[in-house]
Amino acid sequence: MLQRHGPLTNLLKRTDGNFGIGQVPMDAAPTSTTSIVCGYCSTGCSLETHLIDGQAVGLTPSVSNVVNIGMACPKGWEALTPLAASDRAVYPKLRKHRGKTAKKISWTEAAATFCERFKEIQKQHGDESVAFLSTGQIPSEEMALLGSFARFGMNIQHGDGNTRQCMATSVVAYKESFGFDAPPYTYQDFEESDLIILIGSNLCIAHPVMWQRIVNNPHTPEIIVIDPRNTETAAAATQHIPLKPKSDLLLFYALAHVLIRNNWIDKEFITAHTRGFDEFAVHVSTFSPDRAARDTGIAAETIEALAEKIQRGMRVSFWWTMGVNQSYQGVRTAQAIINLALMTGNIGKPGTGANSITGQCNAMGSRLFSNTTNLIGGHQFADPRDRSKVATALQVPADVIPSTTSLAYHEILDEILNEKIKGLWIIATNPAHSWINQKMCRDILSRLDFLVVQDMYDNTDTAKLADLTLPAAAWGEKEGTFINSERRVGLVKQVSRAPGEALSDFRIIKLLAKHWGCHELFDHWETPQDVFQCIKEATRDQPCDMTGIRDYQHLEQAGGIQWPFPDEGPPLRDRQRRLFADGMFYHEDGRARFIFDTPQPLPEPPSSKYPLLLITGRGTAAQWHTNTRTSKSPTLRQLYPQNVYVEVNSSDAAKYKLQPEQQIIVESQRGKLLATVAISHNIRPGQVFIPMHYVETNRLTRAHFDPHSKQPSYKDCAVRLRYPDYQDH
Amino acid sequence: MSAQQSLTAVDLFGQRVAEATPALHGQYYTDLIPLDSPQEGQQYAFEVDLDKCTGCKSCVAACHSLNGLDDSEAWRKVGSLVGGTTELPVLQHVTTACHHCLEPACADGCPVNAYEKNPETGIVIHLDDQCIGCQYCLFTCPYEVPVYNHDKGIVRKCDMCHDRLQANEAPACVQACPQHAIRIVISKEADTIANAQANQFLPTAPAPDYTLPTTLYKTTKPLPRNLLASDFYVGRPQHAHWPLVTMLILTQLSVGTFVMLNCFTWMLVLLGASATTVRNHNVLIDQMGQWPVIMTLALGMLGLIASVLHLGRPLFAFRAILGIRRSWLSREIVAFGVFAVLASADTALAILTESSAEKHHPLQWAATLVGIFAVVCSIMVYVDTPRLLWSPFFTTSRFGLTAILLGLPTTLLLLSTMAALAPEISVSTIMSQYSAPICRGLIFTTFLKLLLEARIFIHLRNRTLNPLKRSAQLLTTSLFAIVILRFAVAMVGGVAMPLVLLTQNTSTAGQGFDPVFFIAITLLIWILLLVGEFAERYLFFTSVATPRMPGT
Repeated sequence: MLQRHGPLTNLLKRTDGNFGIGQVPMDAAPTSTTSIVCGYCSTGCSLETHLIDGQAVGLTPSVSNVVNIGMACPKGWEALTPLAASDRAVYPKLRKHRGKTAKKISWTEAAATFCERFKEIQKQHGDESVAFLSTGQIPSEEMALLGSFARFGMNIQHGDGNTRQCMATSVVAYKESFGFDAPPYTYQDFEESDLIILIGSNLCIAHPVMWQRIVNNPHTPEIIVIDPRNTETAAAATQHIPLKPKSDLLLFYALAHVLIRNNWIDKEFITAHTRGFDEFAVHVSTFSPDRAARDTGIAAETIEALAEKIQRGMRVSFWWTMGVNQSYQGVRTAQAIINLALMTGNIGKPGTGANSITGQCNAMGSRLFSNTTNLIGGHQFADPRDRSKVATALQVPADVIPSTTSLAYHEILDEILNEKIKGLWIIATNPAHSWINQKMCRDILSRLDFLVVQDMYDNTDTAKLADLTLPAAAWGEKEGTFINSERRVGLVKQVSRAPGEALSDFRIIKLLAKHWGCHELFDHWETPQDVFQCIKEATRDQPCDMTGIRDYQHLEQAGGIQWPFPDEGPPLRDRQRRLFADGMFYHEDGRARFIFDTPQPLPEPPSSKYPLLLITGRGTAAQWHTNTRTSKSPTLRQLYPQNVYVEVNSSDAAKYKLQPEQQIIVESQRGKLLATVAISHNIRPGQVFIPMHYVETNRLTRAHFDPHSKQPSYKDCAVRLRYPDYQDH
Repeated sequence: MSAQQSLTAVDLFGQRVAEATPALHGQYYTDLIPLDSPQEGQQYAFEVDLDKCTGCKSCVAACHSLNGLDDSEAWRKVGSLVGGTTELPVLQHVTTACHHCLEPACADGCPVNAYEKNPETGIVIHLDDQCIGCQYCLFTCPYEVPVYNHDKGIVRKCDMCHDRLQANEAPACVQACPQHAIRIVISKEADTIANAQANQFLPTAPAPDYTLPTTLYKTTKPLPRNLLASDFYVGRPQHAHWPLVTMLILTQLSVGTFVMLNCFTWMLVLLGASATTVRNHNVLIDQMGQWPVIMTLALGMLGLIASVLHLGRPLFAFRAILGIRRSWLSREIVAFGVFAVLASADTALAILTESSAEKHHPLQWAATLVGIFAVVCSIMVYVDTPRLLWSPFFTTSRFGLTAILLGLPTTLLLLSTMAALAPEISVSTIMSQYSAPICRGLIFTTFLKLLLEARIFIHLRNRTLNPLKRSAQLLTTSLFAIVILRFAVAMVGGVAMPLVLLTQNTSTAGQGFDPVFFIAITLLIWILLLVGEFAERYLFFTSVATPRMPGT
């Protein structure tokens, strides 16, 4: 009567998977394994995929890898699941009439339509009337091919990527301060600091694998989190400084003020390696802690104490994420952080640095190789020497490279509104969900004459608006390289078959180039590796020189290589390398700059009509950006609330008579959404928080931008709460 | 396009790790699993360092993936606790899985002994092939650990990756935690008991004294008194379990009617019938033969068949006899089985010997007693769970009164229908003799039952959101429509309609009834009360608040 064994028991039997991966389910025991860099965030974890006859059936985090040392977040564990989603785009579709369903067409027809419609628009409205928006999610090789085809082949003038939404601020800050977009750190620094200051960074859920490095730190470091919210990271830190939203610039100027006043600065370093300190000292002299206390909500004593901690710290590291980047004065804030590192000499040494933790898996590849605002390899379109150097490296005629740079994301949208841009090609991004002030964004996209969306799903909010959709192979279904936050170039391999007729972005672009009639420009790029050799050559003598990387095999053997790695340099010894150990920065005089500005007030402060400030951000570690991929995994779906919710402080809940779990309308001047109320002390009075992964969230946000980086400021708009009425349902 | 379909990663890059390599992750988790095996009085247990758990939920994803579980199945969950003040807010994540209890309630309730607590390791293992998919363990486990798998028709749960431990590998969750917050330790049974006595487990979690959970939650931080689970205010209706609703209602109807038909004489006396009525009754019953009893049993059988539909693997239902020594569910199944056999045998015997229904022979007595015992078992099945709503009084009053409330109209309906069909009995005899006492009984029972059911709403005034208040809230919000239905049909079927029959009765003094009208009203009463009881039982299951570990 007692059946201990049988078919149902066998379903959960485990067996040794061999290859050092430990036990795995019986039916998922691999015949081989290979490592591949994860395709979500820029941590750049290495995942050991388990293959049966070349097809991935499972994965475990790679053990010997220096980035993630055997760990992954839930997205990484579930990275293969979205590939197998039943709603993948499997063939090209054309929508003859807006609002009607799109019909299946052949690739030949799709490529012909693409070229015909865009050429028609360009003929009528000029070359610059077609633009593209790309991504930080595709490999550098595809990025370079895309940028080259668009700008050299199609004569497109304007293109930008969704990295504008995450990284632009750090890029500009670094460029101006250091002379090049160069995050100086290596992850090892997390383990070597004795004081770690995290600014607007919810590491615990945004980058859990990096938080692991902090936990591994043997020096029992002090961890200070500067964030308006009591985030998971703030809760796990040794000190939380809950400053008022967007008052961080003031706080850092006040810290600089105290450091200078008390002479807690590294004069020797400042004199030898920087420029502009005296002006900066004058600038911050008016930012007393008392003044800052008023505007930041942080007591003057706390600011003084924090400055003292920075002074006492032997190895102080500063880390920031979207709380700084997505701000209307983000560049100056990032530079204020850089200034603190420079003036205290906390740079170039282990466990130090002013370090930006970037967003997407290939955010840095996009910055270097997307060929939009920068010419490939971090060069200038306007500079004829750069143009000829890049032409030689890429093996294309110099005269195909234009001398003008591109407009930024929001400027491209503005030009659509101005009827200057009529055709748009969107690759692997979802602006109809993610762009700020969503209603306006969707309205703008609807004004286009022709919209092409190339993505792994053709049911994203943006693809639903498209005239033509092109089905793309996803991460894991193609090869190429990503560059992670610590400048490490890593490999992506093809471990899974693309569904239906889906093609890699590389192959799609080659096909389109053939139909466009400019394929001879790229005939020498037969595989992504051919492109890699060329773009690698384009980085020669740049700070991001990676000419020392021989080929993909080299990357495979080394387990990823950090730039700079010039081919004449010393052989690769240390797997953890940081920049500026010699104090030499990338400006021509080798000196870093102190850059500062007057802090600006909130553009849309809470008012009597809209009394609350809305902060948006990441919800959980199981969600990624617009939730396009993460929503396809049933396991991940268990890990976050399915419907949009709004976090409210308990005193505000009492004030507005809100009950937990109640449905409430959150409304800004631009739109409204219906959310479930979550009451806690994790958000301060006067503020509310809504995660960005829900499509409704950006109906509320206000389209304003950092003037230097053009990055949208997502985390500061005024809203109000009210009970839903019959019109809201 | 064909090039897109060829997979060449390994051909291109080769195999980095040799095939027969022991688990490389070992270097990270050697400290996280014990070196020795548990001794006498010890067992393996999870230890969670709350200071390290930051809510990344990698453990959940790894459990799912490394154990080859189905979509959305995972044996680990991560929830959170919030509290403190605006100045000192507290946010504490909690990872939780099976607690491999010293006294596992899942095992105690299981009717087929599909749970085994390994005597050496203490790991509570579920025998998937033994499980019949009755899901009773979902009711008895206070931590929502067993999960029902619809496709497989069985329950599955955490086995602490016991074969990994055997091979000196860490369980999936342990090896996947980037913060090393989860480890396997050897815990002493005495410590687990001492902790349970002192109510030391995890703030807001169900009290540990019920099952003696072995998981050890550690923290160095002082946790504030106002700590609440993030999903504390979330209240959702539970699963309705329609086959169980059907089974409970029909078996209670059947037993109720059976008892009434067999003990009718006493019932009549009890309900104030005259001596003449009682005499006439015996004559009547003799004339009617066994048909009413057969109909009653048929309805009961229907209920038992419905209950089988609740099983994920009905073919193995016979195994339910195994748990009879500890499981009330086992006893319930066996008791109803015995009742069905005895009652059928009794009826068959009566038909064969053509004896009078009111002649109480031992078989009939036995069937009656077993039937009542079976209903008691039904009650105990629900009382023996950690769900506060299903208290002994609550469950007994509902199940017992359902037997009466449905037994009365069923009896009346069967008798009058028989009368209509049998030429030798007139419907008016039935009407004049039974209608009044049964209608009075119905009105009284309906009022009593509704009153007892409405008692739950008192808890709306509770200050604390205890399980009873949660139930009351559900009943006044998402389940409100069903509540209205339930009370409305009961008032019409159990009060208004019987009153109609009563007034008819008095006004016409038992003369000149229209038999069709009478049967129609009786049928209407029967249907309305049946619908009412179905609604009541639906609410019984859906409005219950379950104990749980902190969520979201």
